[in-house]
This record gives sequence, structure tokens and C-alpha cells, in this order.
Amino acid sequence: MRYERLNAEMELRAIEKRLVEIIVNLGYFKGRSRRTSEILAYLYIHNKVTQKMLRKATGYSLGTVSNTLKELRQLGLIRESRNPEGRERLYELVVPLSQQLAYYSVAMNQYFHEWNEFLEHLENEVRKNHVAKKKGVEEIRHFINKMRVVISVSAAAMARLRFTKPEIQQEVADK
Amino acid sequence: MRAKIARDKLKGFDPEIRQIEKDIVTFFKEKGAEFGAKDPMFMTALAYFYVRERLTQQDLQDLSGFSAGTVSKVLRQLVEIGVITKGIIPRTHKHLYTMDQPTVVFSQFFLPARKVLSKYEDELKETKAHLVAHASEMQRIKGFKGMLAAVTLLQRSVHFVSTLIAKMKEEAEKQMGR
Repeated sequence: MRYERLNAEMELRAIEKRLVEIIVNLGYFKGRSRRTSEILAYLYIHNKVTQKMLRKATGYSLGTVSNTLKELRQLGLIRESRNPEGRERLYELVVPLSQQLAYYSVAMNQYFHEWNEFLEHLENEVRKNHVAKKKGVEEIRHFINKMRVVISVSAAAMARLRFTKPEIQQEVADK
Repeated sequence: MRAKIARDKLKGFDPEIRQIEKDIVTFFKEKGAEFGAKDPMFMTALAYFYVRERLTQQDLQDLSGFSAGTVSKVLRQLVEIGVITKGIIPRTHKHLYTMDQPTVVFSQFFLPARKVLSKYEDELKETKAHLVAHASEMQRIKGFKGMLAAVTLLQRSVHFVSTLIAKMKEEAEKQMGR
């Protein structure tokens, strides 16, 4: 019985390791470093973690763990709180994994809106007389046209996906 | 000497346009962080490629102010995910990195991304099935519930992104009349 439990434990740790690896590889598409993605992966899996837990799981020094947590806090991905059971600080995701899909699909509409406003602003800037013939203005105009296509294609694709329930969308919009 | 350095940092743009370009880079960085928690250095390089399309490592270093090591790392990453391509400037040993038109960027970026994602989607599906099948032996082990939840949600997210990419490809072809 004990042997079986040991085997199951080892298998679970192996699955955890592979899961972390997948999260690291997916993070690469967002330009995230291995260190950042690895720490995020443990937050996804364990929900609430301490610096010591992360040091043990990842093998990084406490300094590296602490700096990475600071970066993740600055990106608005995690928050820090007091641990009622001890002196160590607890870290958790700002948007729990269960709500991330709904959160980002709603947030993307805001993202596209802000992009369109920004492109509008850029168009006004390059229309001004004093910059109309400056070196580089053609590149900026070309950039605006490209981004219009990119944003329009992305927004249209997103509109065709309806994965979230209206109440979740409302909950996210209220935050 | 100082004037030459200042000119180098403009990289062919007049100061007013260079300022607009800097605003674009800031927007990329801020929105990338806010909406996708993307790495700021990665987003900076991406923004410069969207504007300039062709850059050497030295160009990107001068424009961004990043160290040679950071620039080299980011360029490797952008090449690996298929956003830019690496070539050689004829009759020199210098590398030139190029981002093609967005249509091409779309198709280049979608293909490897979808391939990778569908591989992970299958693996996550199998892992979830395995965890469910062995739940009776594993459920008392610390971390089992979290792992099952993470696998389930990750599988859903990967499926979502993969479907989104497919729809983007269809939209790109529709809007560009392909």
C-alpha cells in the first residue's frame, strides 16, 4: 500500500514537472523568460505559494524568487498577502486560473478599443503640417495601415468566439 | 562626436518622428503588459520591427538602448516563434532581421503556433484522462486537486487560443481577399 502511494506520488510530481514545462513553452510566445514562467506555473498549480515553497520547487535562490515575484506584481499578475498561519507572505494570482479565460476574452475588447483610439491619435499626429514631410513619416503611415489590418482581423476573430457567460463578463467589467 | 551619436540614435528618422516612434514603443510595452502580461523587452523589439521592418542587431541596440546580450536573446526568441526572419546583408557578415507584411507575419506566426498548441492540447487531454483514471490512488496526495484543475483549465485555454488563431487566419484571408 505504502509502495503504491509512493509510486502515485512520484508520478504526480512527474506530471507536475511536465505541466510546468508546457507552461514555460507557452510563455515563450509572450516573450516571458523561463524563470518567470516557471514561477507562474507553480502559482497556477498550487494557487497560494510562499517564497520558500517556490525556492524548493524551482531550485532558484530566494533572491531570484523574490525578484521574479516583484516583476509579476508589477505586471499586475499576482498579489501579496499576509499568511494567517505564519510570518511568511503569501502570493496568489490576481485573476484566478478558473476566471482567466473569461477575463481575457472580455479584456481583449477593451484592448482593441484602445488600439483603435491610439491609431486615430497617430493619424492626427502625422497629418500635422510640420511633420508631413519629415524623414520617417512614411514608415509611421505604413505602420498605421498595417496595425489597422491586424487589429481589425483580431477583433473580428474574437467576436466570432463566445466562450464566456454574460454574468462572468459583467463580473469582469465591474472589477 | 556627440552629434554623430545623436544621429545614430535617430536611425534615419527626424526627431519629431522619432518621438512618435517612441510613443508607439511605449504603447506596445504598456498594453502588452496590461493585457497579456507580455515581456516589456520583447514588446519593445516587436514594436521596432512593426515600424522599421528591417533591423540589424546594432540598429535594435541603438534604438532600444538594450545591451547586446538582451537584444541577441530577444531576436532569437522572435526568430524562433516565426515573427521575423534572419538573413545576411550581401557582401558583409552582418545579419539582417526582417518582419514581412502583416499577411505574411500572420501566416508565419499561425502555422508554428497552431502546430505547437495542438500538440499541447492533445498532451493535456491525455494527462487529464490519466489523472481522472488514477484519482482513487492520487487524490489524497498534496497538490492533486490543484494539478487536475490546472490541467483542465490549461487545456481549455490552449483550445481557446488555438480556435482564435484559426478564426484570425480565416478573417485575415477574408479581409485581404485571399
